[in-house]
Amino acid sequence: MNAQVWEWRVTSGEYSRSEGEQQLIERCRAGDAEAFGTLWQLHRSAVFRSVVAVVGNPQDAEDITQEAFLRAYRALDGFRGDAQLRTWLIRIGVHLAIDHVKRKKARPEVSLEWDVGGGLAEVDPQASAERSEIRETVRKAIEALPAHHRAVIVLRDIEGMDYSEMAQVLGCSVGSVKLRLFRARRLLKQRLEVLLGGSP
Amino acid sequence: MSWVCRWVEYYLATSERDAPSWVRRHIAHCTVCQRQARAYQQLSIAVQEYGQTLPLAPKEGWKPLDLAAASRRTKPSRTAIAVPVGFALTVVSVALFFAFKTPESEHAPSMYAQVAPPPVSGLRTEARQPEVAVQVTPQHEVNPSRVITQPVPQQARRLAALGHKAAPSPRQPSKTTPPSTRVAVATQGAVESGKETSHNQEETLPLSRVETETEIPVPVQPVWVEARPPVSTPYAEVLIMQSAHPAAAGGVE
Repeated sequence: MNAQVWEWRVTSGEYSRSEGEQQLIERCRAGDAEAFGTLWQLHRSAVFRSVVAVVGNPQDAEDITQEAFLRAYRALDGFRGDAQLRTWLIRIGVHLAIDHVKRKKARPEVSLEWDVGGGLAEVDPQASAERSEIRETVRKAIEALPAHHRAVIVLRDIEGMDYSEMAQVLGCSVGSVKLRLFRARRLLKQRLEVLLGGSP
Repeated sequence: MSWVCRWVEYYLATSERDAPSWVRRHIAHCTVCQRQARAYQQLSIAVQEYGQTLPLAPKEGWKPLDLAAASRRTKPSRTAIAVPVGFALTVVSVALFFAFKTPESEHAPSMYAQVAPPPVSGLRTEARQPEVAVQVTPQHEVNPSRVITQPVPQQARRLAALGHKAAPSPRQPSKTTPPSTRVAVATQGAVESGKETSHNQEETLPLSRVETETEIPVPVQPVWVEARPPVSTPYAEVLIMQSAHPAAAGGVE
């Protein structure tokens, strides 16, 4: 790699991003819809998982994911590249999901098909049933949280983001993210203590 | 639970692996915080297991993304919006300018405006200074049959440019005479011309009567007085009558 190009990528934050993704973004900006289709296939699963964890309904999550990608396609010229494209897309999706939950003002619908083939493989049937029961309890407790608390739990524990990425997604400071995560986890722990009878 | 335990709970909830050393030392000695640490650890595991159950795609598969429905925001569209917006702003601003613009006749100084009477308060204050003015003003400068006008500096400059030197004229007021004195002199002159008496200090006593005459209620609205040549009528001239053309008053020869 050319040293000058490498230095430019390090100073501009481009080095962590894959070169193919950057080229795809440039092609999209030039009007190549096929390049955006490639980006759609690359990142739609991550966006969908975050959205479905917030809204709790796969059908709504699919619609929100599509809407998030359409908005990203419209606003691609405004993408400065300060964050990764995946973080930017998740940000759009999570904000749409939070708005969706606030607009509905109703509990997310329960979809029991989630656990089919989605959990860890269990050898012991009794242990598998206990695990499944715990996951169901956790899912209910998470879905009972407010939308902004649910989003911070999803981003940290499910998407595995660090605090700076979470701050970019949620549009607030790192300290605010930590405080919001503390409140969300404490509330979730209290709800699970009630649901599980003192455990955890 | 002490306040230290509350801080430890904050670090347990937010810093899973990189908690400060004093937090770890406190947890080693505090049973409440040990229970809290276990609870948050199990909670984190449970949430992560829940996250693994989340679907990565819709059950029926992905619907195709319809990019044709999404028109991209481009800069030409912004400029296309900016042109009519700028035109509309221009039209509105011009309309507002003409709506609030008053006709010129209301603001332009006219000949009648120059002879408009001063406000009542200024009239009274100027009319109450005649005694000092009579003592200061020389007798030869008092010409009751004429209205003393201000010298026209523009015409004087023009004459000076042509080589004419302005001769001292008794019609020109002395430079040391304040305007209020001139008003008082004119007032006194009009009174004296009506009585046709000589000037002395005792004759200035009727000024108090003149002052009472000047206190005739003057309407607030300006009364347009037609410019006319000064006459030696016995009424008191309490106004500075400065005509539009200096030759009308005979100020400049």
